[in-house]
Order: sequence, then structure tokens, then C-alpha cells
Amino acid sequence: MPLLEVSGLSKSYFRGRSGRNAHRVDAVRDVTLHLDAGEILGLVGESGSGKTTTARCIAGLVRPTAGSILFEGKDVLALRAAELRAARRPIRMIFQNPYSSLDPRMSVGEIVAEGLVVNKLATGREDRRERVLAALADVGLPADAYQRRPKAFSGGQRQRIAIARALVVEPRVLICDEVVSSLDVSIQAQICNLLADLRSKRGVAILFIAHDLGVVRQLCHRVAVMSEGSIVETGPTASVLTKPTQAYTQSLVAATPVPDPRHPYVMLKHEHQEAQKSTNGNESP
Amino acid sequence: MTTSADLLSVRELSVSFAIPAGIARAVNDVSLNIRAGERLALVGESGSGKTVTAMSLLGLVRGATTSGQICYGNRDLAALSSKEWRAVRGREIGIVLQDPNSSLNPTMRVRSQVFEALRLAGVSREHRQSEAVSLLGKVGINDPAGILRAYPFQLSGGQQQRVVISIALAQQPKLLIADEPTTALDVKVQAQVMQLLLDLGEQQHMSILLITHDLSVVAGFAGRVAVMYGGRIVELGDTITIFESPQHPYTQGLLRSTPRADADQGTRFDAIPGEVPPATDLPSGCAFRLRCPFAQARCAAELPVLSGMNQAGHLVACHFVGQLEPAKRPAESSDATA
Repeated sequence: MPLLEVSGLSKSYFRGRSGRNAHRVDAVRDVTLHLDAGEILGLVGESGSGKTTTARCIAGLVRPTAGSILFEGKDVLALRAAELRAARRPIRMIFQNPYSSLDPRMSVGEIVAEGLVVNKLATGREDRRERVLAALADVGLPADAYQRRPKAFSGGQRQRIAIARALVVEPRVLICDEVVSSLDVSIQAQICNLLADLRSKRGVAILFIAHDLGVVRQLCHRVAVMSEGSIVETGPTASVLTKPTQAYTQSLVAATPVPDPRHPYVMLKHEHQEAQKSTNGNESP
Repeated sequence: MTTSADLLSVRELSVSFAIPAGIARAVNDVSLNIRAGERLALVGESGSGKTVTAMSLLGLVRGATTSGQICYGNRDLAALSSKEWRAVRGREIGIVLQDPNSSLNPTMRVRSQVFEALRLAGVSREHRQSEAVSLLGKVGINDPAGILRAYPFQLSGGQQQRVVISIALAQQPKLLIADEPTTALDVKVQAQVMQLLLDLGEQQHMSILLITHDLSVVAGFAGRVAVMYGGRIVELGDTITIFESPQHPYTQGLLRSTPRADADQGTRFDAIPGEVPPATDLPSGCAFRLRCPFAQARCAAELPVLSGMNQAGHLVACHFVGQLEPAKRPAESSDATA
């Protein structure tokens, strides 16, 4: 049984004022996906394809219009508010922008401890402090981060704080919504390695939302490609990204730049012609 | 060192800002030449000084202490008054910024914004509509008349960026500075916009200075690459050389940490340890030494000078250049099994 099973998930919004102006926007249409324990599933697609809405539905931040979300076999959408909160505890979301996702007035210790307080997980002040310090250590932050404020940290470190805040409640699933896209590449690599370690050491499953196919290729076991609210292709990362079967995935892969000047993703017209000539030449005996 | 083929050459440019945290040394002793018609990429992570360098070329740096020269033709742009800059900015050197949504005025129709650029280009009132239509056609907009009537918010990100490019082209600049022009765009639109810039540069024999943090975007686009770190150029060379035999440990690290489509699932990401130092607190000697796997005592004591390699035009600022084992990708290294 998968850890998380989403089926027929749909979310519609109404735009415009009431009456004739109103029209329905189907942000997510009939999305079905599953996540096994200890698995990293990539969710890729262009902006507006419904990746984030899907994530927010699973994290419980948005109530879907239709569909079911089974976590450990239990339909979380059928639960009442208090039960729902408890059922959602093992599902944590980490957001894209670490400059807006951390309260600037709280200390890092308070930010990370909040999940413990809300879910009444710590037995006392000392226990809470210890768990927060352990979470900070797990993400590679020094203990003196505890009393400092987010302001004192760089983007990469802030993302570590956000990960610590998720980890402190011992989640089974991390939903990472473009968590590395605003980071520099050298820092992006650090955070990706941290996520890979959390998976292998703690067995957390990760839903990794990204638009950078290179990162997904290296980090994710499976990938689901979204377009216009639907999943158009899904499968093991290597096969989806090297032998995509759907036209949409193919166009996405073709447009992705590769760090190799001998295989440019853009070409001058005469280079195009030469490239074609040389391939034609190679094909003919 | 301006040769006849150089459109613009920057000599020993330094820019620093007094901020509450101290003196931010954003650009330090940068020398760089841009040849006529070439595409040069300025690459580095945030805080490396790329954008301040570019803004200096447009006379848009305010409240800074600046030294050095920016030679353009027989003039030193660094010595211009703000009034004199106006004849250069837009006319000789154009700019395309990262976020097209904030480059365009949300309260004005596209028409007024394109017309304004054409007015500055000296196009008479009766010709502006036809010029605007042909200009938008050149940047690949299918329905120029319709787009001219629209407000920016009615356009997609890609269309907005095309409009911004058309405005930059209105005065037919000889140099276009594109500062992260596709960072806000989706990958398919990014490929279209980069293709457009490539074609326009070629057709109009316009030099392009591409500023980006993304080496993948550079690979198919630029002829030469300058890598910046801590406000200095640490390596400069033609694109093939930079990608295939990078000499500076930072360039090597940057390339290795760039995710590759051909890497296998589960491969460790090759991160550069640590963080970019703040411009207010650059380490002594080589700014990269705190993150460098090869750093030695000399790196702290002595600033490495950007100097030539065997390959013509390949410059590297490292004391141990040529003596370093070119670092391997993790898959090939001995600890790959770990």
C-alpha cells in the first residue's frame, strides 16, 4: 500500500465577479498519483500547470473540489477538522521563497518549535528545546541559530530553517514546492543533498515540485509531468526524461538547456542547416 | 587595450557602496572588453558583482564610489555627467532586465511605451505606428497591432519580455545588456527568447552582454564567458574552453554543481561548501579561498592576478593554475561508491 494515494483530485476556482463575468478555472483536473515510503517523486511542469495547487491540496492548505487523498490508507478529506489536523501532521510542506515563509519577528528557535507547540508534541520546555536543537543539527545549522532571527541568514540557510521546521514534527511526507529554485546552484546542490539524506536516513517520502529537469533527473526516483492541470506522463525519471512518449514532455525536454556548448539548445540558422547536413551525412552510407 | 575590434572596454572598474554594515565592495578591479558583434556572458552567483558591473556600463549606479574607465569609442563613459549619459543609454547601449512585468509600466498601453522609445529614436509621429508594428514583428510577436493596444498585464511573460526587447532595440543600440533575461520565464519560453536574442544579435551585428547565474543558458549562446566571484573576474575565456577545461576552482565547482540531464538518479550533487561572502566582508587575498578545496596559506596573503594561460585569451586568477588536478565529476571519482 502506498504511503500517500491521491486519486481523481480536482480543484476549480471561480474567477471574475458573479454573473456573466464569472468563469471556472480548472487548476487541477483529475490528478492521480501515489507516493511510497522513502520515495522521491518529482512533479514538473510550467507555471500555471497546477503543480502548486496539487501540492496545496495534499498539504491540506486548499480543499479540493473532487477526489480523494488517502494517507496510510485513511481518507483524510473525510475527517473532521480536529482529526484532520492530526492526520495531516506527518505531511509537511516547504515553500519556494524562504524570505516570505519565515516570520521575521520570531527567533529561529520559535519558528522551528511552533509545530511542536501546535501539535502538543513536546513534554515540556526542555524537551521542546532539545528537539528543536536536534532538528537544527539535522539540517546542518549551528546551535547558536536558535536565538537568532531569519534576517541573519542567507537564502540557503533559511531554506534549512524551513526544512528543520518541517522535520521537528517527524513527518512521513515532505512536500517541497520549488524549494531550490531561488537558490544559487552551489547552494541548490547543498539543499538537494540534504533532502536526499533525509530520505535515505529517515525514510521520508518527498514530493519534489520543480521546473528544472536537471535537478529532478538527479534527485527523483519517479517523475510526473503536469500540463494544464493534468498529469500527462509519469514513470521512472530516467525513462521519462530520456525517452518521453508524450509530445508535451518531449517539448519540455527539448527546450531545457544543457551545460554543454557542443549541444546548444539555441542555434543560429546557418548552424541549424550545418547540423542537419551533418546528421543527414552520417545517416547516408 | 582597446583594439579596433573592441566595442567597449572596461578598465580597472571598482564600485563600492557605503552601507550600514560597512563598505560593500561590489566590483573590484574589473577589466573586460566587449568586441563588436560578440556575445559575452558574465556568470556568477548572487552577490558576485555581475549586475553592478552591468549597471555601471549604463551609468545607472548611484551613490557609489566608482573608479576606473569605461572606454566606448574614444570616450570614457565613466566620466560622463548624468545629462551626457542620456545620449548613450538606450541609444548606444540597451538593456533588458530580469522581470518584464516590472520593466513595463502597468498603467500604460504597450503602444505608448513602444512609441516613447521610437520618439527617442527620432522616429516622426506619423511613422511611429508602422515602425512599432515592424519592431514587434521583428521580436516575433504575431499580432503586433493587437499587442500595441494591450496593457502589459494582458500579455504572457514571454510576450512581455519580447515587448521589452523591442523597446531596447528601438534605438538600434550597438550593445545590448541582458540581465537574467529569462530567469522569470518558463523553460520553453526561455528557449524562444534566447533564440530571439541570438538571431537579433547576429542580424543586427549587435554585441550582447548576457548576465546570468545559469551556465546551462550560457552554453549554447555565448562565444566567451567571464566568471565573477567576490566582485572580481576569476576566469575569462571562450565558451568551449571554459566548459571543457575550466582552470579556476570556482569555475570548476560551479560547473560541477550545475545539474545535468545525463546524471543518474541518486548521484550526489556536487555542492561548493559554504556561502558567497558578503561584499562588506570579503576575505583577504583570493575571495574564493574559504570555499576552495585547494586553498593554501598563499591564497590568504596574496591576491591572485588575472593572467593568461597558454590558450589565447584564456585568463585565470589563481596562484595554482595549471598545478591543480582538474576536479572530476563525482561519478568518476573514487568515492562514488560511498
